[in-house]
Amino acid sequence: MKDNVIVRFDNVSKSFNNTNVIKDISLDIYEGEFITFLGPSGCGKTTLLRMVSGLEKVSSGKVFIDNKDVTNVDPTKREVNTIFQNFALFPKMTVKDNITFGLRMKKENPKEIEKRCKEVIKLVKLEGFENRYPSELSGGQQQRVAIARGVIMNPKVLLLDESLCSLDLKLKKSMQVELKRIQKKLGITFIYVTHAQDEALSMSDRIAIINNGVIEQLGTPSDIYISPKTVFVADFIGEANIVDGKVISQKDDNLTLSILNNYKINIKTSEVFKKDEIVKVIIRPEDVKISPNTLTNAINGKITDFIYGGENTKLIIKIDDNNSLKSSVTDEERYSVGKNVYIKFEEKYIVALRK
Amino acid sequence: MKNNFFKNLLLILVFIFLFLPIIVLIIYSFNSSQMNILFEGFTLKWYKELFNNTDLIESFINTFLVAISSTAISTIIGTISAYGLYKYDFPFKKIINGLIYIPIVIPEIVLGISLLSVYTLMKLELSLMTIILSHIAFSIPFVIVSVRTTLTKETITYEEAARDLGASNYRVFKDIVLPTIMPGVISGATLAFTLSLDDVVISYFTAGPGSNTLPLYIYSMIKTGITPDVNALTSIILIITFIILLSLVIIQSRKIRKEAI
Repeated sequence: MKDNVIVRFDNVSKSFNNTNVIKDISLDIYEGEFITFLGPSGCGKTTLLRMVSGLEKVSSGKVFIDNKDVTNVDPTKREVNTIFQNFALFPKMTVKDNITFGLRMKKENPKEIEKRCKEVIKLVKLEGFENRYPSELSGGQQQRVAIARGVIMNPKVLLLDESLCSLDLKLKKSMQVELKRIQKKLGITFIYVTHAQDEALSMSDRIAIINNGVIEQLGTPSDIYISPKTVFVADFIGEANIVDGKVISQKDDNLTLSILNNYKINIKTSEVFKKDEIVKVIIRPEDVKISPNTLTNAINGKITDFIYGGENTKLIIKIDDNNSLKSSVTDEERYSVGKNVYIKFEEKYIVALRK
Repeated sequence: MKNNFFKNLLLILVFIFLFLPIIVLIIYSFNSSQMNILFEGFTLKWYKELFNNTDLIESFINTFLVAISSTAISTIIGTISAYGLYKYDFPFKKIINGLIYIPIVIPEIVLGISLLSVYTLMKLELSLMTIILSHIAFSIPFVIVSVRTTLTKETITYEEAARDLGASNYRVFKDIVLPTIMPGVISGATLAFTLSLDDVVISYFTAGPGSNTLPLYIYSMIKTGITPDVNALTSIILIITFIILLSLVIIQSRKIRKEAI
């Protein structure tokens, strides 16, 4: 699966009115994968997606689809299709006319259109809705029509532009499963754009984190969560405590750091740091282990906030006037605001990054 | 209760004020007297006479010829202009957008005089053609403004979606853009048609010999007195308009009922 490159960005840049929104991005996307462009709004992720569909021209660099240079190819001639943010279903056409629009534009033979239309309607589970108008459908059904309208074209790549954002939470969760099912079944490459990290983590094979027009990190969801390469990525994906640390010593990949007023931790790293170097230390809330009982060799803190969250509860623990830590616990009944706690860390997941 | 009485009275008065002239006009078209002053007896002779008054019939035909052709042309030009002004960026776009309102706001008499001087300058002979040209000129801005209200951000997205699915520029316009802006196009065309139909001032300046329109013909009769066959003709026009409006309302309400089910 990982050999065949379907979309290639080759040193692609884009500027609008002298501001660079995409800065020299090169990226290979493989056949059949579900890749997500994740980033805050205005980071350039949608622009990057629109360069694949051709709705946005590149300022410099090249775009390849299936080994063909499509940099100057019109969107009507590219074998990719887009599912737009608000679905962009044609309001004056029925579900069926919407879905068959692309094939009708290609002047496909009517029998073939009919057959393929039946197939995709079955795929997205919309039987019986063929003659409705988009305004008569719920958000989830509209989403399904949009998917059907794209996949009926047998595109090489399906582009999804924040396609789940307008749905409510429950529907979003079920559409995530649904999207993944459709993608597996068809084996088409999906490029998904979102600013919601939970969507990215749950659906993607790979995630490209984009910030200020560059790819900050590219990797599998667990890669990105467990070993973020930059402070931005650590902060953007999941929750993180980011504290300053000072390098005490390093022996091969064992790094000893002092954090939070000379508390010593030992972590694993592949980077080489200098002695006394100041680094950023990333600690996930679930790796901040707390106990109401006195522990030796632990940091002492006081609970200032209690954020109940169902399966796990977040506690904000004040260490001193300048430092607080977030901790995620499942035994929240043992804690309350104002209580003193003792903190230790799950050190193997802690990451140290150069500033 | 008392309050209600006054409310209803006011309503009745307003309606009388609006419709009394029209009712009087219809009644007088059946008046046997030559003068529009006293009702002297019922007759249909003005309707008969109407068809013998070739001047009146000719000006009636001219009016519709002008209205239909100027509406058709100005709707096409106006729709395309509105779409172009909306979609494309070019230098001075803002200025052009503002200039569109000038023909709408300047007094008709100024527009009439300036059109006349343009035709004289270009040595165009005044005829029905010059009336049509003038009506096209003042209708286009109305069409543009009315079409523009229906062009929204979504139109661009629909267009992009259509292009993404392989639709050519022509198909994008015909299948996607036109249906979404249709309400604006229809209201623009209706506006252009009515404006052309009852225009006196601009037609007065740009009409040539032998190219009388109905409003001009009636206007010229003021000096000699309006004959009742004009009443007959306007009554016929009124009834036709009423039938068209009524059928539109019926179609509309059927559509709404259908959508409700």
